[in-house]
Amino acid sequence: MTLSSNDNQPGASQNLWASLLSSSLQTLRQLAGTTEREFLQIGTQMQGIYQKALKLSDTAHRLVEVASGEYLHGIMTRLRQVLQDMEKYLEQARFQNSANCGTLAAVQALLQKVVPPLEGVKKMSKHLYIFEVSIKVESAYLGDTGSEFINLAMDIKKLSQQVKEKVKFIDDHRLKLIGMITKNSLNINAVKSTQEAKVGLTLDGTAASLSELESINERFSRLGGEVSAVSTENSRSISEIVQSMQFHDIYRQQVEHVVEALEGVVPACQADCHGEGAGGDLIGQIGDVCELQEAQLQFASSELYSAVSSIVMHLRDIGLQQKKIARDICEQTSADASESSFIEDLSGRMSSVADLLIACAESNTVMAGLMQEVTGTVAEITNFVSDIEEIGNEIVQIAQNARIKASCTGKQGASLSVLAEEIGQLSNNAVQRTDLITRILTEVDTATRGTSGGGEGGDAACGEKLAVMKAELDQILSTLESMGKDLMSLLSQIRSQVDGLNSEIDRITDGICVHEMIKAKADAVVDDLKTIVMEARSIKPASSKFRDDLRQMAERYTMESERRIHADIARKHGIHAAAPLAHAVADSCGNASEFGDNVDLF
Amino acid sequence: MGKMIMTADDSASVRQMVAFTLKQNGYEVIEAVDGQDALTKLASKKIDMLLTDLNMPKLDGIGLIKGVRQSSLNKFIPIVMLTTESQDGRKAEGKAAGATGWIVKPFKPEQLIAVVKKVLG
Repeated sequence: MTLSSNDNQPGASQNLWASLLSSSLQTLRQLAGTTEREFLQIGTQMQGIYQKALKLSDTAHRLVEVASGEYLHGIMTRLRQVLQDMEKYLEQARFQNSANCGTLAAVQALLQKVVPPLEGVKKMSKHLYIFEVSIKVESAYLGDTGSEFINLAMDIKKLSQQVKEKVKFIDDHRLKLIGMITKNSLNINAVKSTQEAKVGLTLDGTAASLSELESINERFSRLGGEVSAVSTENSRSISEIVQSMQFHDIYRQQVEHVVEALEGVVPACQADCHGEGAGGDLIGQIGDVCELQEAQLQFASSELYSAVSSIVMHLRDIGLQQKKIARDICEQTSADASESSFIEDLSGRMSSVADLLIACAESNTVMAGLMQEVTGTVAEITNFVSDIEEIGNEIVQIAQNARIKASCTGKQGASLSVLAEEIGQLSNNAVQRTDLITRILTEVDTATRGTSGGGEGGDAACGEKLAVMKAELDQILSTLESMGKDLMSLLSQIRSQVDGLNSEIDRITDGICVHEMIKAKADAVVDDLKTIVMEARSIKPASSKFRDDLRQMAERYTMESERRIHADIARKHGIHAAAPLAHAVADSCGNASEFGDNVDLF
Repeated sequence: MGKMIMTADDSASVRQMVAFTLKQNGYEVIEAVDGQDALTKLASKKIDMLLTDLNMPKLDGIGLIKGVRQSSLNKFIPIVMLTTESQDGRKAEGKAAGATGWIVKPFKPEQLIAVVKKVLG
């Protein structure tokens, strides 16, 4: 509102000033008394946001705790142990496989060595047959005296058949054993190659899993720091909000002081005064008070506006911080749109480790079975070794009998004596060959008995180790899966909490307009006061009396901010802070305690 | 159970902020809308500390301190003024009436808690 040039007379101006002041006072009284409800609402909403932010931080902490700290350390330690156990076990398995293959090759070679003496024994059977026939022929020439040789021939025939049967049995088993070893050696070698390839991959994979877990642990520990930092940041924001909220009370009191000061000049505006003498002083005083209160009101409004803007900014900041931490958490858990996560990758790797252990167990079973079969067959063969040795001894006895009987027949039995010598010779060969066969088969038996198991401590211990490793891996997998589920569930909670918090913050901050309303109304009052000041100064410029007015007014201030504004206005008019004013400004500045400038403990 | 602190202030939003700050730190809070309300409540309620505004209707902060210091139930509790006023004269008046400390608004929550912890030992 401005004055027209026609109205630029003291009387007309004063009437208008009185009207402006009356309307301004009404507005100011309204401002001082009606904003409590809005601020209470903001306070309540701020507490709700704080509680939600606390809950969110707690969820984030829980999530970080799941993927770091003691929980994951435990899994890592167990995984490291399993990795070591597996490497040890697989090394043993490789060594055992290699040893078994060597044994089988040695057995094969020994079985080949049996062939020449066995062939010799086989020929012996033919020789015995020839002896049998020759003895029968010679005994026929001798007539009755040769009848005893018929029994000898019968014994030789029987022995020949036995030799034939035993040799056939041993040779059949030898061939069976060779066939079995050849076939299984191929299988074992195939299993061995597959295992070797898998072992490399799986151990690498497991090491990668361990490394991934270590990396997760590191990342989430860092994330824990970020979550804590966000919590601290939120606390700081809340602290700022609590501080800013008090500006409502400060503003109210500042406005009340402005109202009191303006109420004091209303009678002056209503008085009949002119630009000279006492009337002029009154106009000057109106100008002084209005100029000062305009500055006080402008400052108070500006402070309140800044405080509410700060509340809005810090509330939004809480939302942004929570959004950021939720985004970081999502990134760290690789939780993309397909919901796959690093836990699934880890589980997959762990599964392949479990598969390998199963394959190892199967391979061990196959090898143990083969070695048992070989051992069994070798045992069957060696059972016949004593029979062959017995046959050798029997031939020796037959040769002895033949020599005795031939000597009894005199010259007529000369040809039989020759036969007896031949049989004697044969018996020596038989003993040599059967001895050789016995030695070789004993070697085979020894070789197979030494390697029938599947590793250190035998099959049972090996199986037990595998079962322990498998059970441990299953547990780790189960723990990882459970961890994955927990992470996903917490992540989902965080997303939902962040969304809820942010939409609530948006809704609340969008609805905070009390500072705009206050500013608009205060600005209108400020404009009115400016009008009065401008008009009053045009009639009566600020005089030296302003100094006394300022001193009187300074004593009414209760707040440091009011005194500062007052001092600024005084300086503007060339009045340097005199003793009372300086004292007033310095009041609260020189008493800083350990708690801050605004705290005194008596 | 946390210690019981009374906040006396005619501004509901200030009481709200004081109560929020104290409760967050484990204290129990009882509110009074002015000096008279505070004295009425303190007549039958034992508390550990009083935080009071200076300018309040019916009975101001100085009057409230004097009243509490004359009471039997809460005579020796620490009383801290929480006000926008910062003149030395007023502080001296508060001290003479029996105030333990003086905090000028706006306070930071951590400041308030530090003072509370200090005066409650």
